[in-house]
Amino acid sequence: MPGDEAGGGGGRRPFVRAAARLRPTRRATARLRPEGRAGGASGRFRWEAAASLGALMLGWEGAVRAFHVPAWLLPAPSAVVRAFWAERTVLLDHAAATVTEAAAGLGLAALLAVAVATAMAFFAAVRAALYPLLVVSQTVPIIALAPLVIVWFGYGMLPKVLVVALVTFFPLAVSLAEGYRTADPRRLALLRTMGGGRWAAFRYVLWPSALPSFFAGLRIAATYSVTGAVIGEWLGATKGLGVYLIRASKSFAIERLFAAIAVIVGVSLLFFAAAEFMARLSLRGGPTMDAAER
Amino acid sequence: MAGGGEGSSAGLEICGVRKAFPDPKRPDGRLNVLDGIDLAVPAGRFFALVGPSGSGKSTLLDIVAGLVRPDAGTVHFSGAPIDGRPGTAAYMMQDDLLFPWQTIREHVALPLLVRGVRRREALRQAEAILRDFGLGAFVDRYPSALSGGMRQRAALARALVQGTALVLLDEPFGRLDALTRASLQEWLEGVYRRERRTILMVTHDVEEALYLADRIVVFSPRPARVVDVVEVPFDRPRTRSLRADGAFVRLKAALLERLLALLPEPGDRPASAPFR
Ligand SMILES: Nc1ncnc2c1ncn2[C@@H]1O[C@H](COP(=O)(O)OP(=O)(O)OP(=O)(O)O)[C@@H](O)[C@H]1O
Ligand SMILES: [Mg+2]
Repeated sequence: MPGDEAGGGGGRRPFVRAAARLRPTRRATARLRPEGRAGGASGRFRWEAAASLGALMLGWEGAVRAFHVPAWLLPAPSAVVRAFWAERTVLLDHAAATVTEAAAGLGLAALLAVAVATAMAFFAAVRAALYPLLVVSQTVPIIALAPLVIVWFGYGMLPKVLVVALVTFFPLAVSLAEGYRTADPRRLALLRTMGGGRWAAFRYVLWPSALPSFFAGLRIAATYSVTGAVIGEWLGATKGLGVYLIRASKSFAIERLFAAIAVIVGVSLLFFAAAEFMARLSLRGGPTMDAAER
Repeated sequence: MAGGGEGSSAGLEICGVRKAFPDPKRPDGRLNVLDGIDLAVPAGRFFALVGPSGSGKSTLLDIVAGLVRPDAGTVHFSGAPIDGRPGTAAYMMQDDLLFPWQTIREHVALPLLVRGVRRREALRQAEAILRDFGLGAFVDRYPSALSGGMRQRAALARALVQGTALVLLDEPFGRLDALTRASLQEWLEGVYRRERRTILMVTHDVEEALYLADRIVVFSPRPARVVDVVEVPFDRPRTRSLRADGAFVRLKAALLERLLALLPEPGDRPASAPFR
């Protein structure tokens, strides 16, 4: 465990030197991808995705018109757009509530995840005690837990924030814990030769080594967070896209329901993009280089 | 066979160091790596360590660096025991081990930051040192944007900036082309002449050992023992033309012969035959 190596406990522990033993053949890959991340590839992906999405919408619109599908069964995209425009102020108002809950829950989960995963990296006993619990907690269906949270904390904002935190904590904590474990023991050893203790090991090796993995978890958690907030609202709330969804379906305003779904998708994508942006800011040096090295 | 023989207590003294690693694949469950190493490097001298691959050279450096505790024996520097406590020696490990998330200025500042120097001051000093090392134009580059030679120089700068009197170098110029390697050797020789620290350098390259070191320590195959300590009789500064010098070439050939003879062969040779 990296945390152990980080300590100043002397060389009592045998070294794990697997990483150092593999002779890197990194040079070639480093040259090919000076930026580290595959930015060009994802750019092309976006272009193609837009094209296929457009084709899908056109096909949908055409099918609904050609076969005279009734609007209460499946509205045409154009009807959804019209519903969105008519409802835009109401929808955005509800979306603001959902966004606030998702962001607050995600932030809370991130803080807790950093605390728990870091404690696990530093203390083997904490890890042994918490890791199985973490995994088990993940198998509890959130849809069963959410009503309980509502019962305990009422219909305000707090229970939704907690549901989001419950959903997103696990991917964040696990990805960070795994990130700590990938820290190269030789790098930790090097820091000890500089006279560094646990804190220096954490600050200069463990944390930077774990960041790429943590951000991979954050991307997943960010998209989960919006769904988590909507589920929380669904179970009882006065505001939010989940509430809007229920009202729309109860009044058979199916094009409004679709408009709400579109907004949820849009908000989720925004969260994903924000996570991606933070990752790019923090991973300037391209720690992904390491993946190529190993 | 004792190493340096000078008997000065100021330098690095390795006495009877043994190390075995657990190895379940072996009948006795142990892989004997160091089989009683005695070696003394007087203060301010440059020693090279050569030996077959896998003989335990890096393991010895790990022990001297204080990262690994020997099973038996002692290591002292300037009379103080190392005893499994890192911090006495600067250690440039095999594979430059740069951090992809740091610019090279931050790399060189790192040992200073760890020691508690303020960030601004550490970065300023790092930049000054990198300028000395011919990397002044690249201080803000990440390792992925550096050539192999620059990476090695940055790693060396990071080791030397620690300012320790003892420096351990594990194949500092491995994996470099011959030209870059030769120029970095000349540069390191200059650094050594200026600073006169105690240096123990592992290398696979006999010419590199001859060009840089005062003495060359020869390891046997694993389990390693010191089979020879070869005096290198050339004055400093070592010039570029030295490599073509008759005595240099003859010594190189003889050393190579000696090393090849150490590799396992059917015709067993006496392990401690005198060299030279
Ligand atoms: N932590 C460890 N656990 C088990 N075996 C180890 C460990 N460290 C080193 N060894 C083994 O000890 C032997 C000596 O390793 P070492 O790295 O010291 O050799 P070396 O002389 O530096 O080789 P090279 O010239 O290839 O770098 C090798 O067989 C290696 O597999
Ligand atoms: Mg080695």
